Amino acid sequence: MEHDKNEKGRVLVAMSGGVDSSVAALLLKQAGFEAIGISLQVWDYRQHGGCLSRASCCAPTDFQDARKVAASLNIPYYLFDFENIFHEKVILPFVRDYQNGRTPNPCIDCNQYVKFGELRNRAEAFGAPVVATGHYARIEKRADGFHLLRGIDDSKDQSYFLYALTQTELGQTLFPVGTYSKAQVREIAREHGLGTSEKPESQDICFVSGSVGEFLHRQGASQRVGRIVTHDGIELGEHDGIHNFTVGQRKGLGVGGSSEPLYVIALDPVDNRVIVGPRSQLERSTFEVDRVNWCGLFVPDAPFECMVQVRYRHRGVRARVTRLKNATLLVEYIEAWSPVSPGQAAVFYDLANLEVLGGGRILRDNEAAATAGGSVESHWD
Amino acid sequence: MNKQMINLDANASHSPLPEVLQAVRGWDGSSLNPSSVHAYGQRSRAIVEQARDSLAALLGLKRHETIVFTSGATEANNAALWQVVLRDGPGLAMATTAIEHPSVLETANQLAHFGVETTVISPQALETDQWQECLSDQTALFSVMLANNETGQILPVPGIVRKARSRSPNSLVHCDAVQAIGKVEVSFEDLDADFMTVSGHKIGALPGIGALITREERLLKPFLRGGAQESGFRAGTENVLGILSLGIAAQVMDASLDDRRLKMEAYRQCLWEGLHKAVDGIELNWDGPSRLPNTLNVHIPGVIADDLVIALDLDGVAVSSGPACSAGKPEPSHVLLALGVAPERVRESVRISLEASYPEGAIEKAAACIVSCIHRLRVVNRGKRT
Repeated sequence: MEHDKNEKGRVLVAMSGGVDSSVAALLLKQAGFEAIGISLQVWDYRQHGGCLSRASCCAPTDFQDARKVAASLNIPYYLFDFENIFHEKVILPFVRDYQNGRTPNPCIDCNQYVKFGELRNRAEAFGAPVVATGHYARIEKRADGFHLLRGIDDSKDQSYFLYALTQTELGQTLFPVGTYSKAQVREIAREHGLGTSEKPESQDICFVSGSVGEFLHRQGASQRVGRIVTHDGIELGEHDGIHNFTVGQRKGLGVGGSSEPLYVIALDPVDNRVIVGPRSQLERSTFEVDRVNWCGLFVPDAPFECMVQVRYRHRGVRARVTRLKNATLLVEYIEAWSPVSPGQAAVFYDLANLEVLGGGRILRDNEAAATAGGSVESHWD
Repeated sequence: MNKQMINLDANASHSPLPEVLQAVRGWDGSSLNPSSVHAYGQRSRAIVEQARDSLAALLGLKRHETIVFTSGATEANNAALWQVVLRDGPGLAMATTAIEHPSVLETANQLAHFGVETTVISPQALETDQWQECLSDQTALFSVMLANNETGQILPVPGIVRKARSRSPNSLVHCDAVQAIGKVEVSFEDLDADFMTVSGHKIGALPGIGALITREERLLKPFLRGGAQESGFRAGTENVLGILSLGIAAQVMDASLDDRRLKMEAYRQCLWEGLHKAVDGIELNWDGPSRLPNTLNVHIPGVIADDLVIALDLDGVAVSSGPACSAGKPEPSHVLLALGVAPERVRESVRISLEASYPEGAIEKAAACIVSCIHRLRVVNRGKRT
């Protein structure tokens, strides 16, 4: 019953069929791990549009690709059904957030509960002390603990989505491709004939094909017609559901007749209004953040300065962070400002803009006061 | 394959017999079309007919029965059920049991598009005295398996067939004997069926070969068209290597059936004892007196079967939970559900099905491995599963 036990032990590698996770598996095997490839089916592709819809992940061909790569690496491969937990922890909150005027980032919830939560459960079940994914990020083990860093390829860095990992989780996770550039990863795949080297990137949200609005509608988000107004209450038009809008959005507002371009400044789920205005009204000097996670090494007890990144494609700007009551944070821009979309993550990096200190969820203005002590889940700070 | 594995999933597929491997490897590479006039054809023809004789001997066939070689048991089951539409029968109705293999149940579903109404009889109903009342003189076909692949249950087919025939004298009777052959004595005559299905890779032949046995030629209408092979009953160039392997497997089964049966029972007993004494709460899902010597379908509280199958695979032991599904996620066993096993329990049930020959000490080692994986999974699952 003994098989080749590699000296580094077992690692469960989440494989999507794409080039990043394929190369991650290869690198682990080369490094002497007993790599076990798994795919997480989070979405029943057949039940949501079948062959015609092409969501960018979870198609049967993606699993076939992952399976082929695993076979060519001579590692075991298993497919897991995580649909229920994905639905509960990612899809439902996604729909709810949009209905509440937030722009959610489902990748963060998915990482937290599905990729790292459930994956880790399975890893324990199968005697694997670590898990690995194809994320572009780095974890460095130093004397004082585990440090989560940006991937070396700036254009691909995905550390933004990983701020919710704790020290324990960081200690049990590997990101093999974080020290490579995307071009290098493709080259490695090509060299080893992995077959997925030229596969196009999956863009956007993995479970949405077509527009988010259509998706939400199919999920039963109600189309509540409401008013589009300026910040001083002048009505400019109608909308068919605030979930169709994101703060900072400029296109598709359907209102004209203004001398300067109009942006969505805020979404009001209570009165079902979309508030629009010129870009200058997006400007802000502060915003608030809840559901904070610190990666474990640095937990602030006094106001401090850092870099804050407020969306995936954002370089990060300098800010001062102060802890408020209710465990929310007040973030004050120091120099440059950037518009924020409530529901998105604000991730804090050190002043070198390299290491993730932690992050949280951006709140609507006045939301922190309104939801004092609310029903926030316990694993958040 | 680098990994050393032990096959405790024989009901899914039995390892090819050494005699089969030897014969297949001994193929000299000449072309194999038994319909050709030339020497290649003659040689191939001889192989096919010899295999046919071997299979006939195993199943106790007399002269008038016909063996039709097929691409496997699935094709044979399809061909049998399609007789409802292909022949001029009493009507477009058929009946079968809820615990049949999907190649029977799915074919019945498909036949609905052609107007065939299928009555599916629950295993509980089969145990009553009046189940046959669901049959009528319009019933064109009745299909019942001899042994179930998931639980190992052997059905009292001769008695079932007798009741069926007395109620529907004009109905054809089909028996899927796939799991019984090679484990227990199977006599086609005793079953009193019109058709019987045989599978090659369940008895150590190559996958991709099976047979449909028919009591009389005149009862069978061809399913696959386009050639005169198999006496016009099944078009397509014969899979000579597959047929060769099936013939050899049949010979081996015929010569050693009792010995195999005793060994399988001994292994099963050893395995069950090892599990039962070390695993709290482990239970057999089906424990009737009439059963295959090699099958254990067990419920293991506190362990998700899909996880156990994987954990065991990683440690070199092959078992299964529910039918394999190439499309992705496995579906729960329709057989266990039909038997009234609660879905939560089905989710925690695995099937262990043994071959007749393992290396010294291998079964004991496998038992220890299963126990250790179960214990580890129980620790992990406590309080963690959603």
